[in-house]
Amino acid sequence: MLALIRRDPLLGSPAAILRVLVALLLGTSVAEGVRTFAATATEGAMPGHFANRVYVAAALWLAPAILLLLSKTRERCRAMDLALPIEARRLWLAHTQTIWLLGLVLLAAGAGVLWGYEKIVFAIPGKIPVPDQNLELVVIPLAISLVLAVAALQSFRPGLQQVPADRSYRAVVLLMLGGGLGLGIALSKLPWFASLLPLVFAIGLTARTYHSLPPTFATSPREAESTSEPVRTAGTQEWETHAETGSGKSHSALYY
Amino acid sequence: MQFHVNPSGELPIYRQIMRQITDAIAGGRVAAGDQLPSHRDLAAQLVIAPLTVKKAYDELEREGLITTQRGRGTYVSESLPVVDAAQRRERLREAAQQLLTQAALSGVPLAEVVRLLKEIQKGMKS
Amino acid sequence: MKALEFENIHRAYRRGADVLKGITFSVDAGEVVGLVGKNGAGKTTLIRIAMGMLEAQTGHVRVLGLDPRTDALDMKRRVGYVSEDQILPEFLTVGAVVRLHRALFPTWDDQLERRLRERFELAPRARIKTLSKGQARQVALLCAIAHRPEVLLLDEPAGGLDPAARREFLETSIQLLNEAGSTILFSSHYMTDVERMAGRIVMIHEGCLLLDGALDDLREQYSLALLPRGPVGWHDRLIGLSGCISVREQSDSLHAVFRLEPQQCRSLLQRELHISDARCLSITLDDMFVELVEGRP
Repeated sequence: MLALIRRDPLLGSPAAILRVLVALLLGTSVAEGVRTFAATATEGAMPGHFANRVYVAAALWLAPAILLLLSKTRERCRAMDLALPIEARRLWLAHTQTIWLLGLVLLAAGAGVLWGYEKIVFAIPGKIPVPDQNLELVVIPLAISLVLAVAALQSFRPGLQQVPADRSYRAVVLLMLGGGLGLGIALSKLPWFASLLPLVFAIGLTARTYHSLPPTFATSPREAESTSEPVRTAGTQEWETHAETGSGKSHSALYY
Repeated sequence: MQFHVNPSGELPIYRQIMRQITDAIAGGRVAAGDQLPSHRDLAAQLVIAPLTVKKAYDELEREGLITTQRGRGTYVSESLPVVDAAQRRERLREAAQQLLTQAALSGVPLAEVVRLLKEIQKGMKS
Repeated sequence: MKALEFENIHRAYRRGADVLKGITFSVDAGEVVGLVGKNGAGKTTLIRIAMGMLEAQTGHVRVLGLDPRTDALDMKRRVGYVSEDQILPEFLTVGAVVRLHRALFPTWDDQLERRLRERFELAPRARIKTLSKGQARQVALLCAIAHRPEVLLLDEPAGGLDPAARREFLETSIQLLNEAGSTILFSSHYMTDVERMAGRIVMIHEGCLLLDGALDDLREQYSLALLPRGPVGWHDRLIGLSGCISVREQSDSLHAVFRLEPQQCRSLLQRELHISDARCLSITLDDMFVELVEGRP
């Protein structure tokens, strides 16, 4: 499984991953900056616990959300893998686990950035009176939401090697992004054991999809259509073939 | 002997091979008992499907011009087959008919045709 | 048991266009079949259905007696696949890709792999990204045949390659045929390649089977007649002749395909239409393709 994860399309190139990670974390940083600005703009008033939590959650959710929007997330295995004798469900699970892994890393890194803000920026004397972020209350529920959102997303048309980015997919993604954030915020207000429910549900959903997969993925029809070249007329064909071989004669000689 | 194949030629590839072997035998360029390349070797070297070469060899074997011995290779037959005299004449007649029709359509006089025949025969012997 | 069986394959896309309309043919073990047709005729779709990447809406396909969708693993272990649009992962090295394949195929032949690697001069540490199209295709070919597949499915394997690379590809395929007697189904636009490798031709046009027969029979039993345009109505009279398969107008001449030998064709034209200045030639696959696809009555 680890080997499959390493080969996942999302982890395609180390340089690209690094770039994406840095970009996403910068994004979190910016979100945090915006949040801080918004908070201080109300003239040092202490926004309520709820509002504060929303901003924190949103800042944290930004990076994983962008991850889910990447096209490589839609790609469950490489095109090359379709010809290989590997069960589709193993590839599917590896891909789901890769997204979980990356998403949780991003969440943790984002929390690290926010924590850094708390300890460094807000500690500057003379002062930005920003209330406690309550990071620990928010991170775990968001993590569980993320796990569920990813499981749900991957369970959408699971039999396809690459899900086409059509209207229905886009709708599901938006639903997961908005719903995931909302769920995370809601869970952060409830006692800790409430978070177990969505977690169990996520695991159940994953298991169910895993078992429902056929032994092999299918290429999405739109994909197959688009990879065929534009239709050329036979006339062009003829010209090309003749041009290739020079009036259609080619010779092989063997000196024996 | 030198093999030479044109995938888009007049004849299917297997017939081209057959003809070249037959011509070589007729022209004395290969002698009875000479070894021919295995069908796999010839296929690899001419870059054509082995089944095609095999088809050519099988046909020639059926006509008695070559023999294949398992494990030893393919050879030109020691004793070339005796074709029925009447059959031979018939085949020649057909070929001559074709040749003369072509000549007539192209406006080539008989003398010219005869000269051409002699020229070709000389080429075959060398 | 047939190596490949397609039975009444139908495949339509959501937008409604039928890509394959009832394709039926089968391939015996050891046969080499060339699949020809215009772009969009359905060749890629057919091969993908054989690989289990697409599902036919009706009909069924069997590869080595197995269903490519339900017996996917068993089938894929015994089948090699190379496609023009198969993209190898850019950042992996050649060695990594080969190792990946080696681990998955129980019948992998190390010696064959080594020979091919040496022959293609592939450096194991080179990243796929740095290879030319021809070299990347060679890696794909190596991975597809080093496990000595019983069936090889090739979808435009020489597409986009220069003539030297194409020739290399052919030579390697022929080597495989020599050594393992694999069954090969390949689609290609390069008719000379098809004429070299294929024993049998299947021609698909607009999703239907137009032609299915031995290549040699095609060359021996059909001919192409070239005649001057002539008066109006000749076109129809030609079609009306028994043995005439298609007629096509080309600037100021007519091209007609007959299911007759050139000599017989000439005589027929002389007899029926009193045409004596027609050129009757044996037909190449290229011509056959153009005529049948463009000149269907």
